[in-house]
Amino acid sequence: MQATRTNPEWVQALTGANPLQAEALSELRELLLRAALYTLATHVDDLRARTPDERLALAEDCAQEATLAVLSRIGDFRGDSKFTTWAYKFGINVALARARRERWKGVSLDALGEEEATDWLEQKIDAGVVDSEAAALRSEVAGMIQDVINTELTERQRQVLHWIAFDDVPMDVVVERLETNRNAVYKLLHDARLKVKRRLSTHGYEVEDIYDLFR
Amino acid sequence: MTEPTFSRWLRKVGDTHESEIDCSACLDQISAYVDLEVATGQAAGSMPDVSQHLNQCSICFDEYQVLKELARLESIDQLPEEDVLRQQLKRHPKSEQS
Repeated sequence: MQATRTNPEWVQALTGANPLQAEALSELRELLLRAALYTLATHVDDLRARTPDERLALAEDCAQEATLAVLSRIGDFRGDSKFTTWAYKFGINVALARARRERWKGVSLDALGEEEATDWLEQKIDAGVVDSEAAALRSEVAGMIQDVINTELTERQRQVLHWIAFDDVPMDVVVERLETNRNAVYKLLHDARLKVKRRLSTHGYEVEDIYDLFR
Repeated sequence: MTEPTFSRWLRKVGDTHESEIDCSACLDQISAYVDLEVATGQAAGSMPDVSQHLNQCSICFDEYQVLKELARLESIDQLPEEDVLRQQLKRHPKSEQS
């Protein structure tokens, strides 16, 4: 494999109708296959339901999908990184998303209700009866956070917050479930965090000073 | 939910900014961030918005970690060969049992 191709040489070879294109495409696909194999090999526990041959076939699929992504986005490449680093991210992005979906395949998000998190916070509020300054503070803060979650968040913000922040559901699994995109889900999470932070700040609490209460 | 899960989220609340870049913007800049990180070990100071997003978004962080390791291995010419990676992917404990 030619390892010394410069950024402009990569772009020129992949975008122009020239004799180098076939060779460059082959090299690109080889790079992305290695990226996909590496990524899946480091997350192989997520693929435990797959046979070895199925895992290799999955890597090939990821490399193919990533190759198409690179070719469709090559006009966005600004040259502010190595071309290979820029290309690898597509292979990793595709492979990790597939691995996460494999891990969560068959898990019903609907079964991950809000009750567990709500119960957990209520326990912290109940802990206020303990004769301890820290416990009382923890109870007060937990109650405040629960109130924001219950009264200030939209239903969708609340749902996404519980899935991702409290149940550790991967974002792309949620994205698929809600038929939306990562940016939209990230914004829901950001807005939820901001509301909680503002409420705490309004009452004189800095999060840096209270998160040790919940460790 | 466990206490560590909640405190981890609370830490993210504390690090919340009024305006944050989204996942697309992070993905757009991540290769430059990683190359800078591999070259200098100090990308966060130069690209604080990306660093802040990585602290908030676990799947972007996962992608960043793998990309950084691949870029690091490539920079020292230690990227595993395809055959080696194929064997690693096949050599899962479950496949050894079957």
